[in-house]
Amino acid sequence: MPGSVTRSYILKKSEEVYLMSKKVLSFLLIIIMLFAILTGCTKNTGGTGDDTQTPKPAGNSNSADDNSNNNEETPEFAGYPMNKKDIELTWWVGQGYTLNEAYATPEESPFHSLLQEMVGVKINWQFPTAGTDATQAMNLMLASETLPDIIFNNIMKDIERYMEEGIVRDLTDDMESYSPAYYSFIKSNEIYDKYMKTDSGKYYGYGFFREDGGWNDTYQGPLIRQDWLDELGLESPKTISDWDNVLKAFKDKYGAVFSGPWSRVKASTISGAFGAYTLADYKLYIDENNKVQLAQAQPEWKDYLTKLHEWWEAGLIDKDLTTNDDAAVRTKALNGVTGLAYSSMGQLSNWVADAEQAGNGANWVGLQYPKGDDGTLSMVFGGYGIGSTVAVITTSCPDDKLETAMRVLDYAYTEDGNLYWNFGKQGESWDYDEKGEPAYLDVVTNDPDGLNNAISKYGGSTWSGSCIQATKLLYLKNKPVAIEANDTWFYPNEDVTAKWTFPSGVTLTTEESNTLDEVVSSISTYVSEMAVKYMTGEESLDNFDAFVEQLNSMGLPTVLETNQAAYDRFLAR
Amino acid sequence: MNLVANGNLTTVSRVTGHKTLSHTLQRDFKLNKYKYLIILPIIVYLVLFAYKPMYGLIIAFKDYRPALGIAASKWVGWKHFNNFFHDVYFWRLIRNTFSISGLSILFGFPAPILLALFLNEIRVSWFKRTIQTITYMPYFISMVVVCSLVRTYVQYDGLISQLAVALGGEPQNYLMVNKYFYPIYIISDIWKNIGWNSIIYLAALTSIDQDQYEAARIDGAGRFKQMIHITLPGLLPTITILFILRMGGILNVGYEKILLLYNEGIYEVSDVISTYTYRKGILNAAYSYSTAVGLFNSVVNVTFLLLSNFISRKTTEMSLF
Repeated sequence: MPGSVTRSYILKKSEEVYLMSKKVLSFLLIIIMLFAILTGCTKNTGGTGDDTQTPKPAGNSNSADDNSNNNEETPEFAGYPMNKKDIELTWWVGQGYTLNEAYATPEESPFHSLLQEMVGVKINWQFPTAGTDATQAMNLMLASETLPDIIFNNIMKDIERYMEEGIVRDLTDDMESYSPAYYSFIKSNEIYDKYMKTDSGKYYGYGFFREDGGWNDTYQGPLIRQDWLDELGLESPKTISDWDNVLKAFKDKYGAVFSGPWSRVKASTISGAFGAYTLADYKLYIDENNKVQLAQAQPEWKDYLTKLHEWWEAGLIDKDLTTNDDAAVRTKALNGVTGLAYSSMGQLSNWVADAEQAGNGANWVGLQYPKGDDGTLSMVFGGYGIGSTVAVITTSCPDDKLETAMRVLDYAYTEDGNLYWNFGKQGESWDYDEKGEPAYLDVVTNDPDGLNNAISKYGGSTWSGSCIQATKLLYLKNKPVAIEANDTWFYPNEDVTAKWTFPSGVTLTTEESNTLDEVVSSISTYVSEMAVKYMTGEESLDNFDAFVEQLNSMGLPTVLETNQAAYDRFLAR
Repeated sequence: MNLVANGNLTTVSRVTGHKTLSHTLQRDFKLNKYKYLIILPIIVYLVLFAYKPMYGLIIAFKDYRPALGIAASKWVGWKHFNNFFHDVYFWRLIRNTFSISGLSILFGFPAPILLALFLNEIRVSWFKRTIQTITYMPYFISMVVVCSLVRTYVQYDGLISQLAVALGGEPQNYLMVNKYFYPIYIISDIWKNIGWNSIIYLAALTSIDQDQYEAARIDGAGRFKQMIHITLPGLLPTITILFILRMGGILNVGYEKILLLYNEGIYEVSDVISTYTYRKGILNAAYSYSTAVGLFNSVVNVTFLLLSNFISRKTTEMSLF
């Protein structure tokens, strides 16, 4: 046949083998690639250590009560450890007392493994994969079939929804009997009780509290260079007129300005002296008539921004104010670009350390919040010392494990448990000093990762937890100058640190969130944008009335009404 | 009729004499079955990770609650889209997004081409390699570090300000002024990506036939004329394809960079769809809303992609598909 190419299909034996092995090889490669893809399909339980070996409770040397019943049919609670060897609780932690980065598994972590010893129950710890967002990880976990017995995350705001959807258990009936320590704690303070209940009066979870109430919630405030004040022979500024003088003096003599990291400054800074409640952040507050108001819609806020604009025009405020972060301000503090600033007590410790190292004689101290010339002080940055994180028990936890779970969570609020959650196991990470106060042992203070890091290896209350954070812990964590600063900010003004705040314990119904969803972000964008424009003078404050008009047309009345309804329900709890 | 295996794919049916699809497919499969087997893992990957998840787009039309799952969440139809389109800032967001994107393409797209052309002209090998390495390096610096550097330079007493003062101007914080935001954004973008993006053009340049250059030199064309008449047309297919792909990402303004650089003072020009949606999402875990916005983004992107592909095909007869 013309044009055709005939091929001989009879090959030599070696060629055949060669071809065959090539086929085998390519099949193998395909199979390997398929497997490589399918590894991505493994189920992610969102946790570590599924088949862990928990250390056996090492005897009852720490229990107050040695009568632990273990083989009874209906065991009565007789103190910790409970010796429930057959019960295992799964506990998912989204933030706060997550695994310290020094450890790969919970077994290595002293806090997590010793807690099991202290309560006498096996705990299967689960954490979101390092680096992932806690809320995302939690939502992923919630979508799966079985949930862990205990979940700890900042879900207080949506708790009504979770209870409706049948995820979170209602603990009201058993709270008093199975968690006596926690129950008496929240009953001791009306605010605590309101926060930890739903609008319908149900108890559901174990929250985070600071021992002294709001002390450390006022962790930021004004800072000043005492050495400059001394050089100029000036007194610590107490009123806004004093601030006028000091700012001008600092500018004339040192060319310095008022500065601060924008993320902290925009919250409120010195708004209290004007009767205002915010600088740029969208903020709702409670006025004297228990009514919810928007801080930016008030004439007092206009006065505040007028003053700030005056200072801005006079060159007394850092022109980089809205782009500063903590690092930038720290540099400015070191370089003498600023002498009067606003930042946190933690940052203050850094500035003091920098000054020491540089040996420039700078003496940074905390300065009290200024009052208006007429004595006004409507508010100071702070809160009630109640966190928005909470530990809840899910409906996946069977009834026979319920009591154990509630007692395990209650442990943190007992005297022994409080010490453990804050400092760790006595004798291991801390012990009493000569004054009878807890003090850390060398293993913590000499930890190469640093003191703050070491504290969170042994305790669970450093950042937030289902426990009460001891004030002593904060004292041990921070330098004396930072503690003094916090005292200066908090104690003189204690009564205005929290009662103006819109409580984070207020919950919204689904319709309410949907209504607010539509308008709040545009309002919050608008007010924060305008705040900056008013301060720099890009917009004139003469147009303030038009500004309020615009807010009203954007839906402000609806926002206030909706939040008011939710707040009223909160008060009625 | 006898049929001969002559390697031609189109087959003729024994009975009717017409080409049929099934015969074509059978033939194709028999000839190429190992090739299909090789790409099977890729197809599985695409189906599992790109196509199957598209089902999740449906949450843009629901009030998604993770605990209820996709199927059981309440259907709300166009609510989230309405919410988005009727937002007070909707037009501003669209304007900013298109501006940033458009200006990025206008200035950021030709830059690597110019760099590649420039590098191509360098004869001194070590110099060329040094320039290449230096321009590649910024690509590997993390965006967070770059933005931190940028913020430091544009501060009131930063490097740029001091330069301006030296030239007789006033110091200022450039990230507080609307009119400087786009230049800052685009220039830092170009600085970071120019080296990396020029790689593909340099690769395309090597495929241009060297004989053409010789012929041009003989005809008396100088370096510049050579570039216009040989190099650029040689690069045109690559440029076209990359341009169409770029248009397909027109609404994807890199939101991390904007988040790191913007502040309330310049929301007017810097607030884009993705940053606004991000802030909105902080209030509640607004999965459905952000999916709706994302879906809108994708629809616009695909429209632009198809449009530019069509225009390209009609004008230059080159296209992606």
